[in-house]
Amino acid sequence: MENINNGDFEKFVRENLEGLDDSAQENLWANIAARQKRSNMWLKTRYYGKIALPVLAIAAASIWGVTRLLPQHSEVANSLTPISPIQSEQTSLLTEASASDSASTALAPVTGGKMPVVVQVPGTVKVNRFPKWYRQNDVPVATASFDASTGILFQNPESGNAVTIPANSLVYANGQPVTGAVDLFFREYRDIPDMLAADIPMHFTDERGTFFFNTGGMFDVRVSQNGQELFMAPGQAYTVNFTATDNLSNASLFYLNEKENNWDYVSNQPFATNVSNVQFDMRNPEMLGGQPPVSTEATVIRENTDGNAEKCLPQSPNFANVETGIEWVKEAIATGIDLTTGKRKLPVWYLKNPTAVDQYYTFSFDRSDLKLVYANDEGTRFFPQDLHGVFTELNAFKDCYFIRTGDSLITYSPQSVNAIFSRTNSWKSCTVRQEGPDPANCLMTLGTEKDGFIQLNARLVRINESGINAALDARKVFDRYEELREERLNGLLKELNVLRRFTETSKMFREEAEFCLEEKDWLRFFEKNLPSMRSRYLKLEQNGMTSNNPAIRDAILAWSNNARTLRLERADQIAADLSVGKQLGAVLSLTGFGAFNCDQIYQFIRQPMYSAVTFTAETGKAVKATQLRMLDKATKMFLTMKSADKLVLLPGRKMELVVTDNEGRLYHLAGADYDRIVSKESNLYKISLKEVTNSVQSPSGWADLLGI
Amino acid sequence: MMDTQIKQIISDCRKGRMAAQRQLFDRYQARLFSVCLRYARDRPEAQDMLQEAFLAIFRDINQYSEQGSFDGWMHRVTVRAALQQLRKRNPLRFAEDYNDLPPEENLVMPDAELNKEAILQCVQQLPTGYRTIFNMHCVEAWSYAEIAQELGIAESSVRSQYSRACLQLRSMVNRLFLLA
Repeated sequence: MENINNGDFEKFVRENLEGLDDSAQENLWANIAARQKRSNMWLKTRYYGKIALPVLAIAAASIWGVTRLLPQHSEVANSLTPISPIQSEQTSLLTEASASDSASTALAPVTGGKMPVVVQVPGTVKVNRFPKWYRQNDVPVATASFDASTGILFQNPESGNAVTIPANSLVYANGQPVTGAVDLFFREYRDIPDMLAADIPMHFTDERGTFFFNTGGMFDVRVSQNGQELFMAPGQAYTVNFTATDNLSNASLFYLNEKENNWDYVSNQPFATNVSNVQFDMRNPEMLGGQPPVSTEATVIRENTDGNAEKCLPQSPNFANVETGIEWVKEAIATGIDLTTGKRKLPVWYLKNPTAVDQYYTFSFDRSDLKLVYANDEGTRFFPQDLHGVFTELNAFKDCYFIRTGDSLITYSPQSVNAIFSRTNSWKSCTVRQEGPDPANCLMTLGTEKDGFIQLNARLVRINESGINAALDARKVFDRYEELREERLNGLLKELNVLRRFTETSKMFREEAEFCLEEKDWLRFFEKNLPSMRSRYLKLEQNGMTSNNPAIRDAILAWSNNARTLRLERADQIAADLSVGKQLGAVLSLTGFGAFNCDQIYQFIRQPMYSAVTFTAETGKAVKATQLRMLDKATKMFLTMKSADKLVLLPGRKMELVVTDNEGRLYHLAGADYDRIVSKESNLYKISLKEVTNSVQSPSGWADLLGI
Repeated sequence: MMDTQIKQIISDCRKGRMAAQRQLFDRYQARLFSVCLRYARDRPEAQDMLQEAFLAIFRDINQYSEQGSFDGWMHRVTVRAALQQLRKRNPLRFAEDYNDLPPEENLVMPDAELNKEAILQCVQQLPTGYRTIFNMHCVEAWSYAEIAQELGIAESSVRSQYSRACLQLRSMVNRLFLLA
């Protein structure tokens, strides 16, 4: 192997690598399928839309032509409307989706038999005129006109939602039957940008307290005639075939009380049993009652991360064997106690990237702050001074300077080497290596945070007090440098391994809400919850986990079995969901129009602290907040605060803040800034916000702003 | 000539049919997993890459023009998905400069036999930047210029990192198999 030439070696490696034959784990398809399911709806829409649109255009043109020739609402006109919406060609988008994936909610039986069918292709219709009483916000509304005497079946093939309003079922406010053409407004809120644009509260309060919503989608159905609000006749109901955006457990139906601007609980029955007939009339509040079931924060996080659900299972410490595990557990618990009692501190370099390989730390470019100090000799002699004393091996070069003798060998920046080199204080790392026959010549590698590295040839010189080159045993100096460097790196690696074992072993002791956290996030979580972590580790110590080997062995085996069981259960669940095409949904039979919400409610697992907060704009002007909303992009948790002058403190989580002021202007604070601010204790937080009113005029504007 | 079965699978995938996507997955996952294994440092990372690759394939399957090789198109999408994953994990990795081999005690000793799995283990132990460039040039036969454009680094850097990757790999193979 040592004697073959480079070309042959590369060929040998290539042939071996090309011949690899391995398979991914069995459950990978389950993960892909879970994430792909929703995208397939869009693929179907795109594919069948190309076919359906011309058909729709021809049908619309035909109907338009016929209605111009015939008197309105005559028997003949009625007979020309499609007879059965289920069999209509225009419903092909929805039925195709249902047939292939069994993922959509079944259509409700349609009463009356003869009614217009409208298939709404998402994004093609935007209504600019709303009745004044209709909630004003930036979420697009779909609309259709129909005759009150025939009713309508209105479908959105992308969401799978459909509204059916039976013939002769509408009345005016005075109870008189409605005749003639009416307008249907159907607005769907399907994702977080929609919710943000909706500007609707996302919390729920009952006698048990205030809960946050985790939504599976909202919809708003209204009917009007010439701007006048219409109602369902007594004893009549319209139907909404609703498909939730996520398979939420404990989902309930809520109704938006617009007068109070809060949500009323309707029922959890439709989602618990997937049956219809929620006889809810918004004009009859006595129909409300009961309390919605409460989900845990862990459930919310798990269900919001659908495709990544597997990551929310207990993670596996990588013990070589049980004996190793016992030693790791002992050490890790002692480390945990030291960290929570202040005897030890998690180093920043480890917090930044706890999963990197050794070389990341030993050759990392963010280990310290170095400044190039120049001798008073026109700047040709310099020395990399470590401001924090991290690179202790540089002490070997005491009383020495370097002279740059050659250009950079490698640069990863478009900037010129000279420009980079002229920096005085932004270097993060420095390594020096003797190179070439002359023992004073060397190769220096300087690292920056953003630009990567530059390498330069340099020569080591020594200056005496009178500024004259003094005798120098360069070989000895470089040997000492290597010795000190090795010493430092060994110490670093030793500490690193203790921290790695602590992080790895912590997986055994995590609570369910921590299962989803990657190493880096968990360490942040650990730091932000030191009191509870202290209790955890002290309790483990009391239980003999630092001294009693048999107890530790039992704990490792019990944990391992439990983790395995949970993983198998999850795999079975994913497989079962896929095989039956499970999708949360219900056929809702509603007697009142308005905005409805399919949600689970939850509280944080650890009761968070709240603090008073005041806001200012970047201009310094005070912001009178009327609505405060928060979004955790990592867990897709979006919530509104009951009161806009109280801030929930969730250190370690990057909550995006969105504030609405009393004039309707919108302001934003980035998640990283929130985390930084609430990490410092205060009784009153004063937060400066960026105004974003002009850039968030639509859901897509919100999506762009927040990167979601 | 593309066989009719795969044509039908592609057509059904374009319609968002999961059954067809499953067929495509079953047919190609082993081949593409091998690609991901080369770019990843371990199997879990390769699994993540493969997952993202298939999601990208399903999403972009309309972009496949049917003029070229479908296998080649899938391969390219997979490589790009793998690169994307690497960037997501650490965008600065391609700019890393490792002068040394990993310490010997950190090297995982492959099976004594010098087989393809052992070679893979050596490749996986290369630093990310080296491993990526080595795969792209040596195995995928991308030119230095193409790699430089894809990774957003200078062509000279690609050359030097490739050369260092080869040296490291060779040194690792020697150390593991000849000097042990």
